[in-house]
Amino acid sequence: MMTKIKTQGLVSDLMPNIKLMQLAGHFLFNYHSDNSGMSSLLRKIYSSVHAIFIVVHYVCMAVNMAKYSDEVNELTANTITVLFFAHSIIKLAFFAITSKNFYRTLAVWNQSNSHPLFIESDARYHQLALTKMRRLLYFICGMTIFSVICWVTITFFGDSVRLLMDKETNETLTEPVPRLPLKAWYPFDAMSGTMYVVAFVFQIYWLLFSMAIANLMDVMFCSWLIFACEQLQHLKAIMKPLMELSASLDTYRPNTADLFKVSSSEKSEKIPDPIDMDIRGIYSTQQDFGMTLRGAGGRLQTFGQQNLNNPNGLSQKQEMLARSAIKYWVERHKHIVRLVSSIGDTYGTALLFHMLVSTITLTLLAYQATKVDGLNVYAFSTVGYLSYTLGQVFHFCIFGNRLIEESSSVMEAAYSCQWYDGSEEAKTFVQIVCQQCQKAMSISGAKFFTVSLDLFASVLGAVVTYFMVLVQLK
Amino acid sequence: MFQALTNLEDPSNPLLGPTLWGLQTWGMWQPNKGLSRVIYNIIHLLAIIFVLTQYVELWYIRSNLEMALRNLSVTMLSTVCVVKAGTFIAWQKYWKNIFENVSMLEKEQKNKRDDTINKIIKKYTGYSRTVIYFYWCLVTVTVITVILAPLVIYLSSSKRREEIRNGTAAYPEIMSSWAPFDKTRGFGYVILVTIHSLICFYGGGIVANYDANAVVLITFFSGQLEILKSNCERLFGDGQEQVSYVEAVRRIQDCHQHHVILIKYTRILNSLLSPVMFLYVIICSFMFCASAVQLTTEGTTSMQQVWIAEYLIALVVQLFLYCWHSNKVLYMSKTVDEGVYASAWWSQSLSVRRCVLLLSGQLNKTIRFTAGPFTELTVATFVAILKGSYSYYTLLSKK
Repeated sequence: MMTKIKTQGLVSDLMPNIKLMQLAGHFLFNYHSDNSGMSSLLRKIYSSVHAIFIVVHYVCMAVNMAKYSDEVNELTANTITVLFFAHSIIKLAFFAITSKNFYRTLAVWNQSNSHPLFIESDARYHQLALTKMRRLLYFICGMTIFSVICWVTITFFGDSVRLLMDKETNETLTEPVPRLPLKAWYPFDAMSGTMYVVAFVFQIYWLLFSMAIANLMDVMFCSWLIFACEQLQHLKAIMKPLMELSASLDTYRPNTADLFKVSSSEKSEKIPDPIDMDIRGIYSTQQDFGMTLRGAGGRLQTFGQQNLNNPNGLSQKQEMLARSAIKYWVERHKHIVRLVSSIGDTYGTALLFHMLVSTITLTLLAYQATKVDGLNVYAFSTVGYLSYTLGQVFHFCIFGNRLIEESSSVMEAAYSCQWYDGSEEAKTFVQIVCQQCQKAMSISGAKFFTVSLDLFASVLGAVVTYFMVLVQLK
Repeated sequence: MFQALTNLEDPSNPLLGPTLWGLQTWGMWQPNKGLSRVIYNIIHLLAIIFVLTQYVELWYIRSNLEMALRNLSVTMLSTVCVVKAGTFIAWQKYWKNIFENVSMLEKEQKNKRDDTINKIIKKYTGYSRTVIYFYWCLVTVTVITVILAPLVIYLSSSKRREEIRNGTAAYPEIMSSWAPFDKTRGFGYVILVTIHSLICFYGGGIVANYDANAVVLITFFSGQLEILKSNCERLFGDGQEQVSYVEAVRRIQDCHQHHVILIKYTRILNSLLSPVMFLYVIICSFMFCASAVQLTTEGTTSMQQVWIAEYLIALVVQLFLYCWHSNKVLYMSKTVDEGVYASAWWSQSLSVRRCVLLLSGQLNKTIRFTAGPFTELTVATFVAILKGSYSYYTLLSKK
């Protein structure tokens, strides 16, 4: 049954990313057009096979690390490699366990409100977000493939040896090992021949897929943040036209009695003017229709049947338009707040694990970096590991920081628009919005830390400090 | 056993039933005047005297680093124990105030028969029960480990048994404290073992109940903030409900008063906990590093390492419990005003909107639990303490 499921919201924006994640072996079983029993079983088998390969080879690497742990340099190098790929295992398991949260976050933007005045701006910023997300995806995919190529290339340089500690003489001996990208324990002899080629090809596959698993999940997280930031930009952009629209609503003093009276006379204006088809256009959701039927647009207080007291002579329709614009703005902002808190709930723990593993890796790398003695394979591989790990941390720190900046700049946009021209309602709207936006929206790593450039700076500073201290101690 | 646990529930104190029972059994919560109060106070005084003997012993063995560290790792915990018991009894009046108001607030909310509120109450009550029982188990295991560790050491190493029979090594002791009689042999040793076991039992109970009580109260406040946020979200219904001005202001007033009450009682709780936590946080890093040094010195057998590791884990869990739950309250108090924003305020008139604005200004206030005048109890403090302990550990183990 090839039923074409119409994807909407974030899912359709992130479809390339989702497809790549499914290809790389994540346990992502939703969002397929074909959901028959056979294909979903095949997909489950595909993901499980990938997971088994990745975990088994990781365990082989860990066995290798445990087996040759006598010599300090060998142990450090193996530990760094094992920790480096711990990210992939953790992310694979994390996604499999908490996939419900991911689906929930992807579904947050399925229904969004709209307003005829702001459709064009909405579409423009949505397109911007889409472009940025695609560019990020291509960049990260390119970097992953580039890293794999570099890794394989550097395998062919330098001596393919293993350092051993001779227990009696306390000397360091070297022992030849197969020239493979990763040191792992194999039950067969991989020194030469067909087994060598098999092991080499398997390792290339393994490198590519495990790096892809880790990076694609980070890309999904950053894409969500890009989307939220562009939505905030959209809200900032429509603040000014909103104020101008409400400026047409004069500072109008309603009849106080009418305002507060819950009288039966209101019920008489239940039915909207059927000729005014524009009104239907303003309200896009069923709720809004329900509200129109009750008479007061958006449940606001109506100010009598004829606007005799309104000096500008605005019709009720125009007042409702202005008020509905405010309602659109507020509801859209609340939707963004819901999206950001859903992102934080979903990905916070993964970020915590990532930072824990990265901190240990970077500490060990600082130690390795003190032993660099020339422009050789060792130097290149240490620098490669360092830049990759720092790059991963930088990747999500920069987008987290952008979210913080965007959400706190909404307040500035609110203050800088011409609120003094707006109606009383618009002024209270600005007040309430500013009160809310004083606190920036941020993503926290399970409440242990906030994802921002401060975090990256502290990580970088710590690495440099360890490096300086260790160099001094030598 | 579960029957026994349900017996601890008290309908007049829906949340605090088990913890109040524990506090009363160990003599901290003394609602009844009379003989029982006198007996409990005498027990507390004896405990203080015991802690002083531990310090005397520390002075005598100060040159032997390994034994001094072993003494310190237990002595500091027992100091905190008696401080907890002492402050609780001294400030009974304030604790009573908090307990009464907590129960009253909960009963009021249950009487409203609101489904959302009841669900939240049930959730945080269930969570606090889980935490209490887990923590009681952990402390029980630690107390048993501490009491039985010397026995296990005696039984496990035949070399040690030889040495003891020869007279070259002393009998293994549970804690290191000074005694006016000869504690290494015979009758004196038996008396000391009995005293040590009783003190362990007493100390474990004090720690378990005080901490469980504090954590339950902190969880209560975080749950109440969640209720407040949910009430604020539903201030004006979903925008379709016709809410009169008087009704709107009354609802805003309810939320405001709820918040004011929460601030008042968290302040009282903070003033009760802060001095104790200050002392605790200061000596926490020393306790961690003393235990860690013991763990990694060369003389310890693997059996000893097991019990030291368990003790260290229990210490870390104790600190983490406080830091995590205070952190949760801090975060909850920061997100409460989002509840007001999420309500249908755009459907209300200007006058109501101004009240909403003032309400959100009030809800802006954050609730922080402090440890003394210098630090707050948050996860960041926890991480800083761990880092500090690790630094002291590296320094001490190099010596």
